[in-house]
Amino acid sequence: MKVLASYSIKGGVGKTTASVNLAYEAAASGARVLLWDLDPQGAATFFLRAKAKMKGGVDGLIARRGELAAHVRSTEFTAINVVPADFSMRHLDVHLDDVKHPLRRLAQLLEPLAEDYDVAFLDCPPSISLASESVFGASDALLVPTIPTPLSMRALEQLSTFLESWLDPPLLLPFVSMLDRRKKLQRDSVEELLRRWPNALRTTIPNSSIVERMSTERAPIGAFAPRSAAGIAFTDLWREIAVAIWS
Amino acid sequence: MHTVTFYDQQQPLESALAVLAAAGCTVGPPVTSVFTLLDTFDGRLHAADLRLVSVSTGRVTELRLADGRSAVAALPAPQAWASTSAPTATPGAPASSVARFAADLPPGPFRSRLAAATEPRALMPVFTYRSVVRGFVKYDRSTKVIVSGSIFEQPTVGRRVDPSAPWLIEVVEQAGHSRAFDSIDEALAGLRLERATHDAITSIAGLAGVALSGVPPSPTVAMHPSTPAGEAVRAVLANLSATIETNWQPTIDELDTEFLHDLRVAVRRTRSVLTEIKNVVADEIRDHYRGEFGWLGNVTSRPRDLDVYLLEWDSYIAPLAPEVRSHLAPVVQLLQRHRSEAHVGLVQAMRSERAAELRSSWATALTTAGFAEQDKSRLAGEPIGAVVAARIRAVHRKLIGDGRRISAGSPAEALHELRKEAKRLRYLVECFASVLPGKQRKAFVDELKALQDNLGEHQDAGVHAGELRDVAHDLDAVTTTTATLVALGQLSEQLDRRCAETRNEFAVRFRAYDSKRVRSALDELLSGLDG
Repeated sequence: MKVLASYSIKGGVGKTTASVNLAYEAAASGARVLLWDLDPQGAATFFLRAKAKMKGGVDGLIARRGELAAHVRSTEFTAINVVPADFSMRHLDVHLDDVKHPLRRLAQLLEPLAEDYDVAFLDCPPSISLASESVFGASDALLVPTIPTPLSMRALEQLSTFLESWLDPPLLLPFVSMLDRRKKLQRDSVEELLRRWPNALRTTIPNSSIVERMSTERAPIGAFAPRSAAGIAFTDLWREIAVAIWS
Repeated sequence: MHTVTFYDQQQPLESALAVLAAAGCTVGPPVTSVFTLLDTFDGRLHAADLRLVSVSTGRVTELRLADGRSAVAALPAPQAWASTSAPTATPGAPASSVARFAADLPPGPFRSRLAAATEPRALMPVFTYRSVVRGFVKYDRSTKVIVSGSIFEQPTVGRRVDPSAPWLIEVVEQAGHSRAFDSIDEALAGLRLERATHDAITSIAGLAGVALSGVPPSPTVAMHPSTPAGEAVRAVLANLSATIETNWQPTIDELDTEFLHDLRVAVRRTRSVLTEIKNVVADEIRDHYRGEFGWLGNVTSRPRDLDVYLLEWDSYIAPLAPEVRSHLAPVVQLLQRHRSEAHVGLVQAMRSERAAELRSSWATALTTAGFAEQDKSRLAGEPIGAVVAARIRAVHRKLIGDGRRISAGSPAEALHELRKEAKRLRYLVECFASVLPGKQRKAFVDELKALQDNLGEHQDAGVHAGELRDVAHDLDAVTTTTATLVALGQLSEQLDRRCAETRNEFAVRFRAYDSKRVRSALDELLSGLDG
């Protein structure tokens, strides 16, 4: 099982949109997918129609005897299962601080499910904290949605600098999110990002009203508008990720 | 996650549908679907507890990979796979037009999982059935699926509607909703239907009498240590002959590289048994067929060496820098051409009168009364356990003696000869495995295999370095770039280094084999069999 975290220090860049749509595309291309919602807002949980409830809360899960399998729920897509988030997830950092080897705890929880899934997406809240470091310790790659603006690029730079101190850091795979091609500044920033980050994924995700429809449809774009520009972009983005990870 | 299948010979489907309706399930429209189970010739997916099924519904074909424990993975079938279906309902009848490889699929976890279980073998249809299928689901309040399943009506294998299963129902548990699954399982079980704890395709295969285990090559046949040697040797050789015949046409058709491998090993095992088990098979027969199987083995050598070269190619070039690797494309193309030419030569030999005569006369010889002579000076009437034990000891002794004579200055041919002796010993143990105790056999073979691995790597690196020199001659002097020649030089060095490393390692490996531990393992293996 490969663990891919949709992560950014910055908020509002399209992390949950990426997690849910890439989970759908991965399943459509033949992967058994687990999406673990680590964000107390529970948006991924909502999009996949799961109940925002963790039996025993996050403290029970993170504690020594916690098992992730007990929290796995089905979705309407047979190859996608979800670990829902509820509001208790806001204390993830606190509970990680209470366990031995907090940076390995998320990896330990995922390990028993390695044979059941081909890919696990971690939908992360925006921050850089102990929980983020535990995500880095569990992940094979960080998918970093990046709006082509100076602030978003700065957050990517901060992340990259932070990971330099890691012995075995996850692969950093930034990609352009919420692109508005009408804006010259954004077009220039895309070029700058691809120049600065040779590993960056080439597919760009457009800023689109279809993305907003996800909350009314409560479904990934591929399920209700697969031929839309955003739908096609997520299909292409997943293909690129599959080549980067499995080739 | 659980899957159960229900079926019945007597009850109408309506009673089961009523149960599903009462449980709150929504049943979808009927769709005529064609299902084809795919596996390698030797049943690798079956052995790994995986099912690969191509499902066609009109224009759409999907590939589904299931393990019975986790969710079913599915992806649209590539165009070339869309027409995949079994030409017959008979397993073990490979058809070249429908051979597919995991590598043909787009990169991703589906391909990786499939490749890990099957490569380098081709995937071929095992059996096809047609059925009218209706999906059903049960939703919770937020319209999330909590139970799913399928109803299969009148599954038809080949042209035959199986009367023993006019319908089947498959129920699949969804994560986190075991109670909903249990309640439907219980309600259907209440109808006193036949219940199986596996998927529908396994049930349909079982009802249609289709074996799913493939045709793994087995060098041995069941026998007792007291079986007369003549009878036992004849049975082993007949089994090897069947393996040769099974792999003959697929080797010509080049379905995948392993048909040639299995054919070649069966040929060499045959020759080895004829050579090593002395005074059992009539001399005239033994001498003639040792020569003929020697010839057949030799014609398979070059294509197999090139197959191994190409299979090992990625590992050979892995230590080189990526930019160096990219310049080796003309080299691998030339190797592929050499391999194609070698295959043409092989096919000519396999289609020759000599090969035809060998196959037909050998089949006859195996059934003639004079195959094994029974006069007092010979061993055909002796128990096979004692005969095999004596031969294993003799070949082992020779292997040790010849190995001890090899020094740092010995030529590469000495190691090659030793490799052949180790193979002969291994073949003896494997062909007569059923008279040897299993645990002790594995322990001894593990020791022998460690030595063989070293000798094999040394031989392959040497042969492949030589092949590379031939390739260098054949490269077009005008179009070949300097970068390719430099890359070729680096690869050549790489192979020479591998050859030298394995040569240096030989002394350590041989010492480990020429040890008290292995002598004890051999004694335990043959304990109770020595005459």
